Parts: sequence; structure tokens; C-alpha cells
Amino acid sequence: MDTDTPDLDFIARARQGDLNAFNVLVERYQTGVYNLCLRMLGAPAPAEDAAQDAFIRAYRSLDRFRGASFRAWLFRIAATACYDELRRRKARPATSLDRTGEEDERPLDPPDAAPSMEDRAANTELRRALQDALAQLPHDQRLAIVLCDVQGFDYAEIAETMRVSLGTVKSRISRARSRLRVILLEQRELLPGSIRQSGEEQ
Amino acid sequence: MKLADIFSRHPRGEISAHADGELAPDRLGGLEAHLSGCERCRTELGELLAVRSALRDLPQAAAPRSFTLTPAMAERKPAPVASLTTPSFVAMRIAGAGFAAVLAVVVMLDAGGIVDDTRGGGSDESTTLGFLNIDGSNGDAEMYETLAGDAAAPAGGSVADEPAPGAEDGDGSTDGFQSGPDSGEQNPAIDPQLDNFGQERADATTTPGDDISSRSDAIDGDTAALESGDGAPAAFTPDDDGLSSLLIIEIGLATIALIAIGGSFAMRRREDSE
Repeated sequence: MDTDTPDLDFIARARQGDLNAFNVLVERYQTGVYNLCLRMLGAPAPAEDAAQDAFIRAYRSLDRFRGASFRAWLFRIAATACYDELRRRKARPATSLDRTGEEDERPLDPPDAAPSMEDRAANTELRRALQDALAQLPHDQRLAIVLCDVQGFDYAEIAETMRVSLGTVKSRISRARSRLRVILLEQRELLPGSIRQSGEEQ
Repeated sequence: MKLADIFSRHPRGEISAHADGELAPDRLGGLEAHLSGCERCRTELGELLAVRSALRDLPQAAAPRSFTLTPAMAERKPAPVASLTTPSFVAMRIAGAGFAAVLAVVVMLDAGGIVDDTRGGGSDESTTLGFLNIDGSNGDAEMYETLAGDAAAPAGGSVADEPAPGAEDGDGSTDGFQSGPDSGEQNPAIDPQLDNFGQERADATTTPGDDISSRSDAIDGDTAALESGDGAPAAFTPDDDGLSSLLIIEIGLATIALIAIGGSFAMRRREDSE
């Protein structure tokens, strides 16, 4: 994959109908887009569907891309696909034909490389607790914290992705972190020492 | 700094931004000074950093397959996208703005003397409302009908004329992520290419317009009562023994606008605090 050519070059070619040029962008961002969907939806199967849907939508809407950051624009489309799926779930809870992920046996996270069995188990439990805590957040807060802490976006790029002010980004991330902290403190035994210790002091 | 932070004396929002190195430079000194003297906030900063670190340590899962598009996928029409906004929130905000605009027009007409309160003394005088000459015998009623018609137009028209949010984005979304999607069941699916959200909002705002019309009917009744009292001219005469009809309209519009705007902010705040 060509990692040095700017996104805009591929976008210009893709707009001329060059599907291969667009697919270079897909390969460039598919891990990030899939992981965003995974953290937003909490299960591999719907995340896979949402990610694919996002790339299809992005290709078909490419003429309307005007932003400074293709990544922010693309991740916004992916977030939209996730919101759409979350909304569908709420409207049609648990029908047998939906790919809600409940029947999906695939693990959410890749195998852990911790040296000892105990460490691997602890890490697995912590990851599960984090994902469960993320799932309890309102969608906007979840998206903000995932973009910030999982994807590593800075506040300005999150604001561009979510089309809100920097102040709103700051507020949503702060609220999300505070809520995650409270949720995780309720499962103190799973937590890293720094949280566990401070929670016990309170 | 948020108002809540000022009152609580613990700037929680700033602590989180500080953990990300995103705090504005002019706030940094103040926060560090606060942290040096507040153990509670230092503890919270440590916990937030631990949460942040745990999230950042989550491994990136490899994509289960390639998402590159085939020519068939590129031709396929994507599934419709539901709106990310809450129609009720948007409708209330727009309705509030519409009522406020109508109120501004009425107040300007009133204060600017276009509707002349002082010329109502003679029984045979007519009152001018802008370009309209209103006969003194039933001037109020006609004017209010005119106002009601005008009022309905901006409320609906401003929405209908507004370009559908996100239409130029091409991302299938219809607006900013300004509201929680929890109200999703209220949102009809919207095709990104055939965005009918603007129309939906226009429909939603017809209700305030209808309200104004119904108010107009009620005001007509008031006007008739005023006229029948002593056979006084129907022009805009200041009401000696109470509020003038125009003032009642202004108060009514202001109340509705405040309720709509206040309601929209309350909904927004509730969503943010969820």
C-alpha cells in the first residue's frame, strides 16, 4: 500500500471513477474504522457490517467531501453508520435475524501477549469491563471518548468529526471519563492498581 | 470554565482536558494552582489518567477482512441513514426562533409607530399598518389576521428554505452530532440522497403557525369585545383599563418563544447529562 501519497491525491482519482484509488484509502483506514465501529457497537459482526457500509457510503458521497481532513470525514460516516445500527437495535430489539453480536463467538479483542496466565486473565477481564462500561455511556459521549482514547484523535479533530465546538468535545470527554471512572470503581478488583487504590481511599 | 465548576469549586471539566494536554494555556496556571491545594481534584486527576491509560492500552483489533469495494458494491445503493438529530429538539429550537422573529417584528411595528397608537382618538380615522389601510371599524381584526398570516409564513418558510443540514456533507448524516440518538425511534430513515428532513421539520413547525392562527381567532374575539364596549374607534388605542391587544400578542409570542427555546435547551441539557 502506498503510505506516503496524500489522501487528496487518491480522492481526486477516485472522483474520476478510479475504484482502485479509493480502495487504497480503504486499506489505509479500515483498521481504524473497524475499531471505531467495534467499540461503538460492542460486537464484531455488526461492526463489520457498519464498517463496510461506511466505506460504500463514503465512496458514493466522495464528490461532497469538502473538509480538511478525510479521516475526520470518513470517521463521521462510520459513526453515522454505528448510530444507525444502534437506533435500529433500539427500534427492533433482539430479532433473530439481526446481527446483534450476541450470537457472535468471536472475541472482541485480539489474544493478549501478557507473559503469565494470571496477567492474561486480568487483562481480559479489564478489557471486558471497559467495553461494558463504554456500552453504558450515551452515544455521543461514547463516540467522543473512543475517538480520543482509542483512536488517538486530538480535540480539534474530534470537533471536526462530530461537528461540535471544542467546548462540547471537552465536556463530553470529561463526562465520559467521569462516568467510566465511577462504573469501573464498582468493579474495583478488575482495575489497574492506580484506580483501585484511590477508590479504596474514598 | 463551566458555571457548575465555579459553584462546585472543583473544575472537573478542566481536569479531564488537562489530562489530555488540551487545556487552554491561560487556564493552565489556575488549574495547577487549584490542584496543588485540592487533594480531591488531585485524586480525580489520577483516576482519570488511569481510565485514560486503560482505554489507550486497549489493543486495536485487526480488520476481520478487507473492506475494499468491488465494482458491484460501488454501484450498490447504501442503506438509508437515520438522522442523528432529535427532531423535537430541532423543531422546538426553530419554533422558538420563529416566534422570537415574529415577536421582534411586532415589537418593531409597535415601537416604530407604524401601528400608531396615538392616532386612534377620532372615530373616523383609519389606522395604517405598514402598507395596509385598515378601516377603523374592524381594523384590529384584520390586522391580527394579517399578523397571523405573516407569523405563520416565517415559522414554516424559514425551515423550508433552510438547506437540509448535512446535505452537502455527503456522509449520509443530516446534522451535527448535537443530540443523542436515543430518540431514534422518532426519526424516520432518511436517504442521504433524498433528504426529507427539511420537509419533516417544516411539517413540524406548522403547528406553531396553527397555534398563531388559533390565537388570532381568540384575539378577534377580544377585539370585538373591546369595540363593543363604548363604540370607541377600533384603531390601536391604548387600552385605558388594561393591556392593549398588541401588548397581549407580544406577551403571548414572548412566552411561547421562551417556552420553546427553554424547552430545547432543557432537552439538550438532559441529553448531555445522560
